[in-house]
Amino acid sequence: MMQLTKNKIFVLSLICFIVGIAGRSWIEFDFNWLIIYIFILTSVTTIFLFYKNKTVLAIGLSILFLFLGIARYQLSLPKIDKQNLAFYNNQEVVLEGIVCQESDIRQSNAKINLQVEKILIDENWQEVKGKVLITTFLYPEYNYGDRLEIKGKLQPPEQIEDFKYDRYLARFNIYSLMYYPRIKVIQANQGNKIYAGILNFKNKFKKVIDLSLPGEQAGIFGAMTLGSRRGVSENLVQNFSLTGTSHVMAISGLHITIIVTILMGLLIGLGLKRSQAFYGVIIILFLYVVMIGFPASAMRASLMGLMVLWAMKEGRLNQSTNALLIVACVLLLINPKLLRDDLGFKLSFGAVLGIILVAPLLEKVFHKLPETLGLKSSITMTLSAQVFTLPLIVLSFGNLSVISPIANVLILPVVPLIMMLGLGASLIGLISLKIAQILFWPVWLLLTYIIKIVTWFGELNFSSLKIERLSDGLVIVLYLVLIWVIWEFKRAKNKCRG
Amino acid sequence: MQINFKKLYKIIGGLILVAGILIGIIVAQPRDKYLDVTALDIGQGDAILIQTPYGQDILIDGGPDNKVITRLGENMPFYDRQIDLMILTHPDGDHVTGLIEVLRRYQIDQILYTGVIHFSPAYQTWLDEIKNNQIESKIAQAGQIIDLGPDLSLEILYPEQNFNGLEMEDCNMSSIMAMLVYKDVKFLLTGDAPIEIEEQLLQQEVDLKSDVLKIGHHGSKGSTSLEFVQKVMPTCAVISVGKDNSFGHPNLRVLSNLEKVNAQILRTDEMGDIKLRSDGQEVWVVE
Repeated sequence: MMQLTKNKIFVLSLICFIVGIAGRSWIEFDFNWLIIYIFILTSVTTIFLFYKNKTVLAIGLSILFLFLGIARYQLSLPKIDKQNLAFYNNQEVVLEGIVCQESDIRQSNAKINLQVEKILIDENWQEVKGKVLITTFLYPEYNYGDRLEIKGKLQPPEQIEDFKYDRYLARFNIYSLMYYPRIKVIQANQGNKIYAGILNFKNKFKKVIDLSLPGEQAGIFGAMTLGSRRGVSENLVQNFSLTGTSHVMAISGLHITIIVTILMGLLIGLGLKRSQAFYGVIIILFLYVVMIGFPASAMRASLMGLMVLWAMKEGRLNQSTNALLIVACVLLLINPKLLRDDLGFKLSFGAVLGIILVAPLLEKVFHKLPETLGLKSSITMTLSAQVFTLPLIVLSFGNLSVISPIANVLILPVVPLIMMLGLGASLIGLISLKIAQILFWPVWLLLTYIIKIVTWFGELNFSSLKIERLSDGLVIVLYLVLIWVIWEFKRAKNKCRG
Repeated sequence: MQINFKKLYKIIGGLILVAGILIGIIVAQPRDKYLDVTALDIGQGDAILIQTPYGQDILIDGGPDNKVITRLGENMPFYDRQIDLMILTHPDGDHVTGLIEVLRRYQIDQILYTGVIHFSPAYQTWLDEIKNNQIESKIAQAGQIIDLGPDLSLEILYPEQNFNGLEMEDCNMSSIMAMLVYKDVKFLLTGDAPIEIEEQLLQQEVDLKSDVLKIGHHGSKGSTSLEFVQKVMPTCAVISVGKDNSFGHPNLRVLSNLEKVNAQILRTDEMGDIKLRSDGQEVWVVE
């Protein structure tokens, strides 16, 4: 019989927490709080009474964490009453609130996230809570911290064709939309001063990029480093997606992992000890995330990147699944809606899981490849990440990019170069724009190379196959099979060795 | 993942070298003696980029959104971050909006506009941006000739009077109209000028004969009268128009007027960017 070690019980508990959140996310059934309370109470009591019996302890903890997961998800659902903005959906309303995020400037309109504080009912201002996502013209511009009064029709988000827009927004706690309302600025600079300062700095950075690179190149580099996709044309976005390289344009886990590894090497190269370098990287990474204004995706990516780094430092990439599980649980504790509705969340975990589980196996397969230009590592990294993200991507987009591995292998090696040269040039640009503009020339060259590859591959008509959408159940089965295969493979290998 | 840093430095050094050589070649290249006039494909709106054989860049209008940024990036050399002259024909949103972002991303040396008063947010933002960057701006008036080289000039045909500080009922009535003359070749650039302006120019017997006509107001029925077209007699007519636009542009009558004078019709909704090149004797379309 399998030994129930502490480690195994711990992992089991975390998995149960995730299963609880997953269950409650997909099965929309309102659990009675009393039932949840009873289950939690009983399991806690059982644990206290029988903590010496490992089996009972394991079962007790499993049940406890399962229900904690359910409870956490249920708590994240909004209570729609008169104090909640969504209560007034489908009505013409006058609202007052503060812009709580940097405006998202698209090619032809702007999206503003407004934290609503008051609503006008029968000529009386009443307190109300909730966020509304406003779509408005490009000009006039609204900034973080502006206090606005808006008048228009509140609308609930709805599914747009295959895209579950309502769920997508729910994970940001947005349950109301408003299109082209009448907007009046009441007061500026009402937001958090520190955050406003950070955004200000970020904008200076962005300005350097915009003044140094042509439109598309500036757009891609901005997306890679600052997480803003402003200025990339729809056509190019589509080609990125067709070639399975969209992740290049995001601050993804893989991305940060690359930066982190490079930084680590750089610091060690400068003479720091391995552990000192590790903390150095953490500090740099933290400053970076602060600089770009704490986008959730970058925070997640940084955690993932650090995890892989930590595993490398400890030299146990194989056992870092536990740490990955902890990160997942922490993130889900903060926002349980990520699990069902945030593709980025799932993809980055898939990618890292792939790198942890599959890369060591693939390294054996590709050990004969040359290490020139990081070719070997980029091939193993790409393929391992893709093995674990493929079913999800097919499920979500209904197309399978056939040339994705080739496109990725051609593109990924230049990504770290772009990031380093570009970030360096941007920093210098804060002092002298003229020098930065020249330093950006090689960055332009590399970005243009990426654009050419992506456009060229994207326009091949066999670049992607349309595939029947997979059902959620089938995807889960696929993943179980995948994990089982890896498991067997490893066991076989261990046997050989032993 | 192990990274060989010696190798990495070599790669970076190599790249900078390659880029340097590349740029040296580009810069050293003698600019060919062609005039390029490109109607940028920015959807329903106007944006025209003029690149002179003497190295100047002139941008007329910027379209309804920020697509112009992509288009400029594709049409200008990557190292060129400067535009010599920005012209705003009139302050309507489909002409001014994109120019704001251009102001923020390029170094603009001079601005030419009519100075009419208009309260749209985009126009106000554009004016603010000019003021903040202290860019030299001039008011356009008929008779001005912008000298671009020994045999190249941009002549302003309209507005007749100085519109600075005036409020217009119909903004299009203030639209700058200009003629670009390169040796024997002429381009007539009309902005959104309606038939009334065309009639005014016909009455004043201004010489309108041109090789290329940029059709007024995206081919709407309010512009491009038969009489006007017959006077211009273009071999080539460029229509800047968005795909499936809600206005039904271009108008069928306008198209038939152009057919009557045997003008070749070029539309941005069908062709994307339309780049016309001229050596001063002839004009041709660059694919």
